[in-house]
Amino acid sequence: MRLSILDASPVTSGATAVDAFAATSALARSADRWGFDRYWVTELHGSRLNAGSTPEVTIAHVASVTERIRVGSGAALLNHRSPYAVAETFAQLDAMFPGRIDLGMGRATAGSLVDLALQRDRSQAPAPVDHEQQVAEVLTWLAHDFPAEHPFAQIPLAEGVEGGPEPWILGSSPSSGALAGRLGLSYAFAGFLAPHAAPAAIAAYRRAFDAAGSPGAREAPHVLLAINAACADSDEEAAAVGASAELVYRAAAGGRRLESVPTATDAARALGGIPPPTRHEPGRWPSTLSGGPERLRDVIERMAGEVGADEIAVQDMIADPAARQRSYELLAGAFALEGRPSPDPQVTTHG
Amino acid sequence: MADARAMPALSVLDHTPVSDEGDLGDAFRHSTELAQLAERLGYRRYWVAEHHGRPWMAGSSPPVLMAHVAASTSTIAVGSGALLLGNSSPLAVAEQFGLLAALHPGRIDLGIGRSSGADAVATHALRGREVDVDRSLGELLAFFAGSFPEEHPYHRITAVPGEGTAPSIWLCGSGTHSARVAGRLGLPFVHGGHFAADAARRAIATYREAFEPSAVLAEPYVGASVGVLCADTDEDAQAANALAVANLSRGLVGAVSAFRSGEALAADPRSVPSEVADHVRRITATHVVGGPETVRRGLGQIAGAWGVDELFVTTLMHGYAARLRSYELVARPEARAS
Repeated sequence: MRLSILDASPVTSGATAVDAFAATSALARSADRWGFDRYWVTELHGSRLNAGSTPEVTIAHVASVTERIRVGSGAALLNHRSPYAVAETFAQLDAMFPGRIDLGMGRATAGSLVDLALQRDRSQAPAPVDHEQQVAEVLTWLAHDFPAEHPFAQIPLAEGVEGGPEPWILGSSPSSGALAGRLGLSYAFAGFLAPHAAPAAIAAYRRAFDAAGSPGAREAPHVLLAINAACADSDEEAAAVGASAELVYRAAAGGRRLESVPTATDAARALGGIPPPTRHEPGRWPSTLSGGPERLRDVIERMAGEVGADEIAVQDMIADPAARQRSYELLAGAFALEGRPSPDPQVTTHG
Repeated sequence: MADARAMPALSVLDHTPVSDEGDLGDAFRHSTELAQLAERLGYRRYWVAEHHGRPWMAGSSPPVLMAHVAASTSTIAVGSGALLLGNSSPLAVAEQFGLLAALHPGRIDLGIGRSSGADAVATHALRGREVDVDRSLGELLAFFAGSFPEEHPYHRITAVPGEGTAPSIWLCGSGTHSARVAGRLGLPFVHGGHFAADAARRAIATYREAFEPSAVLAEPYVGASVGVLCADTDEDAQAANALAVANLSRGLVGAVSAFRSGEALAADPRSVPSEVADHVRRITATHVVGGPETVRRGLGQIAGAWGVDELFVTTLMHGYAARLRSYELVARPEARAS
């Protein structure tokens, strides 16, 4: 099973965005060495909890400090952007890092005020945008596929470059699944946002799949399942470090947005104890998983099997930087990823 | 005030030109190599430009290229010259440059410009309606400082990253508007002398007149970009410059998508309308072209005449090795082949 990382650059209690990006740099370097497939970064605005707000710049940085791993957006939010600017920026990234760039596209509101502030024209409320039309326009730019009479046909973009970024649709609902299917793109489902919706969304994707649906279409459906997970040497330890995520998700379910990732100790205290390690119950997925390497691999494989996922991406909210690195190192071992030897054997974690 | 006899600080302004000897990826790799060379040679800053729909200049997203360059160098200041604020949302720019400043504290410059960097069609694809760039600038500064007043709706928004991790902010212009705004805000100003040399004195005088001391600057600080092409001898430089001028004219009419060799241009039967050729010739006539001594002398004269503290050396030409050589000879005339 191919394993990837989705990093929102979470800000730990007492730390800053600067610390969060230092941790992102360190984790990306490790992931590159441990054999992870992709390193995706987020576009989240107005959140003190997650510092990852500008995926194109984070991607350029992560790709610069790594050698092999694919790097991408999970997701670039098209409702805040011009399709031309998205295509141009990701074409530039692809030219800079050939064959390594994924363009994950999605839409999400950050609240009406932040949505307005993110428009270049803020003199009026943003007009509703047709997400499907925007995605189609990005794909048309990347494929140089405007009809000759279209005014944009005369604008050159990344001329003479073979390939291009790999387009994905990210979502957490049957409507995003159906959109990815109609366009024939790869589909990444955010299992930590809406675990209950996974079977329906992925079924909608397969039903709608059209291998001729867009200039970026692939031959067959391809599904990535994104989950939130904490791994540690034992089930008990994993449950303890996973308490931070458990608390963040429980607060969110109650309509409360935490300002930072609580330490494992604080989270366990707030939860009234360490939550039990994850068990797999078909059709009843939790938002966040924890377990030792064997248990977690088993749970993840069962979940992937349930919906026929081709790949897994793991996201986390582990407060302690060393525990966070350890979680991914253990996952890489559990899934027998093909890593590369460290250039400096003493550097296994950067803190 | 700069001393007319002393050479001002030298920096690089890079448009990431594309040469026909490679593809777009090579153009970006060349830019990274240039930044590394500039760092070794002691240039103070390495800035990248923003252009759209102009395939012979590859840089469309300054913060993306800056992220790579800053990660590939260690001490040189890395900046945008300019980030075109009217193409973006101030909050998004605060997040982008806040991230760069978080990753590379003290090394990031945000030079801001007003134009679109594109022709009308590409501008429409990017922008739609026109926006008030002065208002955008006010919002951008407030996002970095976290200083929206309580009654402002954006008071409730935090730029993450951005608030508390600000780059150093510069205004870039070619007329008097940005000069006046920069002066009033007490920010450093860079005049686009490589394409608007004739307007330099007026813009810089406007900046100095309008200048009010700020938390950033007690005195005016003036930079100017200047078109430069340096080679081992005056003759070599003139020949390379003639080729660059021919390429720029063809680029403007869409006849080339990369800087091409003399042979490739000679084999292309398409002609350039005389008004375009005249326009390019007028602009490039203000450039400083020659061997190392000639260029040194020319740069010193410009710095004195315009009264600038820092010159941004801007070289657009065919051939990556020759371009690196040009930047090397400007900084180290003694490296000239004898």
